[in-house]
Amino acid sequence: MPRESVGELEYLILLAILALGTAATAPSVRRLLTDEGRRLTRGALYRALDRLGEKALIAWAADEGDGGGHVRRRYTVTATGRGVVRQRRETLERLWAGAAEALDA
Amino acid sequence: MTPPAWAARILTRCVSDAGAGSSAIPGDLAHEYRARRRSGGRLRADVWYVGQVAALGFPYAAVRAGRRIGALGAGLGLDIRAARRSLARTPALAAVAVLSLAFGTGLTAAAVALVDGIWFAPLPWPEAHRLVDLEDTHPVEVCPGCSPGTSLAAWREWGALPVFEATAAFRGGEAVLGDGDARRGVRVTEVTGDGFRLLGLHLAAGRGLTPSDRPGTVAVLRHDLWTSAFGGDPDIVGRTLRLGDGAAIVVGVLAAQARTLDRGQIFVPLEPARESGGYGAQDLWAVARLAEGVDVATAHRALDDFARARFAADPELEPGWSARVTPIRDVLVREVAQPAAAAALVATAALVLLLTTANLASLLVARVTERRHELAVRAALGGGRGAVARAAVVEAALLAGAGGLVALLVTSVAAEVLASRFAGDLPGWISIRADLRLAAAAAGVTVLTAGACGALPLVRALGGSGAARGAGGSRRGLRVHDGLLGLQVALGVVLVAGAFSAVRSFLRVADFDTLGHRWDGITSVVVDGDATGGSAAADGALQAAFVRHPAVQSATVARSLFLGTWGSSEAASPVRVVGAPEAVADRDVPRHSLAVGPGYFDLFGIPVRAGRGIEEGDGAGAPGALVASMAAARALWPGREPSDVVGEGVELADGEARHLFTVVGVVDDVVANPGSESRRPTPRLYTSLPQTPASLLAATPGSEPTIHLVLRGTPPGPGVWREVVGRVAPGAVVREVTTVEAGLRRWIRPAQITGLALAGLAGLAVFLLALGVYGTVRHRMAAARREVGIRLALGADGRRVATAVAGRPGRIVAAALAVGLILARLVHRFFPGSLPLGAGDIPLLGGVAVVVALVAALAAAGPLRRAARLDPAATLRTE
Repeated sequence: MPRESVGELEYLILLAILALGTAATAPSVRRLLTDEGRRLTRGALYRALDRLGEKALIAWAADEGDGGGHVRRRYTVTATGRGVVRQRRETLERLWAGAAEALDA
Repeated sequence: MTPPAWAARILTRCVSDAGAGSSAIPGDLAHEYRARRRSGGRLRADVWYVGQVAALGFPYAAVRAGRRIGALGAGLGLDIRAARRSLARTPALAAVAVLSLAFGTGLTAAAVALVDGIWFAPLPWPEAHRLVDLEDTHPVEVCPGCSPGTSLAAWREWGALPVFEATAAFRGGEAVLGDGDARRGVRVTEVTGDGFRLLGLHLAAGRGLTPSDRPGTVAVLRHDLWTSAFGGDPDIVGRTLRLGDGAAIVVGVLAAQARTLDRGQIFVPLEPARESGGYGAQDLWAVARLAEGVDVATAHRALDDFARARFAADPELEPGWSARVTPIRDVLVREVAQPAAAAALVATAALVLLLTTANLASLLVARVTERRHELAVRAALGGGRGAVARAAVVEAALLAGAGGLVALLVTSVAAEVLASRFAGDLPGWISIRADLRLAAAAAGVTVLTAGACGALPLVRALGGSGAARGAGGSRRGLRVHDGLLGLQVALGVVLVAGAFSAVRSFLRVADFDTLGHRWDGITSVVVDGDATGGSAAADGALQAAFVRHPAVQSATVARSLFLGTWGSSEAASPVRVVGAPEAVADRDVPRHSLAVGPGYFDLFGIPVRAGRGIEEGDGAGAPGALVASMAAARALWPGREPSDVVGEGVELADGEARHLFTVVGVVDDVVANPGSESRRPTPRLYTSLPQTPASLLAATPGSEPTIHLVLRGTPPGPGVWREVVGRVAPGAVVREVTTVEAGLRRWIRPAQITGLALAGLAGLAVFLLALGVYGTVRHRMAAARREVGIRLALGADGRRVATAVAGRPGRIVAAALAVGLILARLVHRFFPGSLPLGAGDIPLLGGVAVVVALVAALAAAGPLRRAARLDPAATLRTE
């Protein structure tokens, strides 16, 4: 079982990368999260991506497309990263099961 | 469509060894830059990108630097965050520091780029340092520094001298390209066979000219003519073009980046018809490459000795002729600007940089002094001197970094604006490129100097002990600040006075109302002179045809008439006053004269002082009529009144033939060259065009008829004039349709370039001065906050307190103003006319003093108003 802990922002970024699939670049991740109401500066996003990379939860591939000489990166969630997301989801679902009744009451 | 390369490089360096996320920043930003540039334009995209470099790249660079310096760097990240928060609390000060640095260094670097582009940047030809100009010289020059060129006969002999590796000769001219409706005037450069090889010109298609090309058979097109006239036709090589009376096969097209010496559009082999003539046919521009290891002085001595001997042996040549070797850049620069202009710009830029440094230092001192209590508290809590100093240095470095970055942007944009604004006016060999290393170096020197000034009170504030630190640091800070304020004001006065003076000179040059003739609402139609055969009858018919056009109120025709000798002022001119023993000396003759049609003086509003102007009756068969300008009358008949001159006879010689003209009137002087600040009137004789023999006109190369029109309403397009000309003189070509105003503006273009640059620097000086005074008064308030609070609490009047706060800076400004005014006069006295620094006349200096005092008062007004409104209780509580 993966043991890496992730913060809320990192978790959201992992979800966004999974949701975007092959279109997961840093700007598109930021756009998706901003559209969902999460305020996210570029600096915070890149630092969070750095941390996720250090924890080996994401990997990237160079996109040699039309970067004007600059390589653009597309991110994917590694197997470890997927494990972390699943584990967080299970935790949340267990918590939700208990919390739902209280919320509905 | 890529971001500014320098900014992209900085960003890439900043994030080079960052993690999985951050190293993607350059690529992501480059993509977004392109989208922003497409939607919002280049400037906006550039500004956005530079902002992102500062926001995203710098923190990484700082943290990495912190890691590198190990223990000393521990906590650097915290310092950076603290400095950012601290600057965010005082946005005005931060903005002032950044803008001051950015514009001070940025515009200075742009001015230097202009100077560098003209005087120092490498010329665009291989081994250009060995390229020299060869020209005939005579002790008595046609005009200061100018040369008549050289002859083909002389050039051929010089090419054999061992001091030259290769030589080439050029001759500029104009011709009509094409036929039918597609005819257009083009600038043609005739080149000897080695010209292309000498300049190492690259070609986009075909080949260059070679020594084996026969004249009148082949041509090479300049790249822009190829694209504009032939739509970049890929099959142009091999096509036959009609050029003047002949035809030529296109053998090549110059590459877009190929730079020629002149602005020729078509290059053809040198015409053999003009090769006749001896040393006197000086109509070539000769260029050579020095042999390996030969310097200019050696080559000059060799050529001077050789040419002097050869010319002396020619009986047809005046004595005294020789030849000189000049570095090619000196000759090229002479065409576009005076060396004084470079000195002026560089001196002004240096002073602006000094002012920027004083300004920034003043702000940093203010900053440290304002923070004296915080520094004392941190020191009292155990913060080591190093840590406290580091926090202050980090803050200054952040300001410097942001200012430096914006400075690079300002430099880059300003240089591009300069280059594009004057692209059409500057010869191809000049390239204005922003040297960002220079901008960065200027910003670095400024920041270091300012930082050293700012560190002085900091060191002293930290050097004392206990409570004394705050007060002592403050007092020392005030003294440093007083000195900086004085320096700023004194320098500012010298700079602003010089710039005002230079701008006034420019305005004088740009004022066409003092030229002595009308200039507004007059259109000039220039017709190819050869096409009308130099015939006065044809020119008269042209004038008549234009007068008949319904849009024309009046029309007159004129041709240039050169009445001097080519090259020697000692010689006798072709002008002889009847009754005088000999012809007028060349140096005294009104050489740039005109042959004009009836109505010329009315059309240009030139007042007739005595007698009359040229009239309808002065046609063929009537006695030759001549009108002299006042200056010409003074030169030919010294001491005589204008009315006494009327009736005098003047003979104009044409070889052996002499043509008698009688002075029928004297008119006011006009200034032919508005580009010269002296505005000396041009002495002129005006002959009646229908009575001026074609042979006299032929002695003036390029004397094409210019028809001047005063029109009703909006002038019709050039097509109308082409049709009118076509009816009267089939085959004649309208070379140019322009307004007299546009022609005058071309003359003043070089003065305008310098004038605009100086006006920009003057505006910057005023801006920096205002910032400096604002910073000083604001700093005073901060330093005296406690005192102000106590005084207000004791019932003092707010206005009086504010006046007391402003008292000392006010006295310093007044004293520095006086010193500045004296300096301005001294500088002007020792460098009269060579530097745009200082000024000589009292009214202008008085105006400058008022402006500087007003700027100081306005800058101080805001902070003083706030001082008067301070809440005493709140002030004392926070203290």
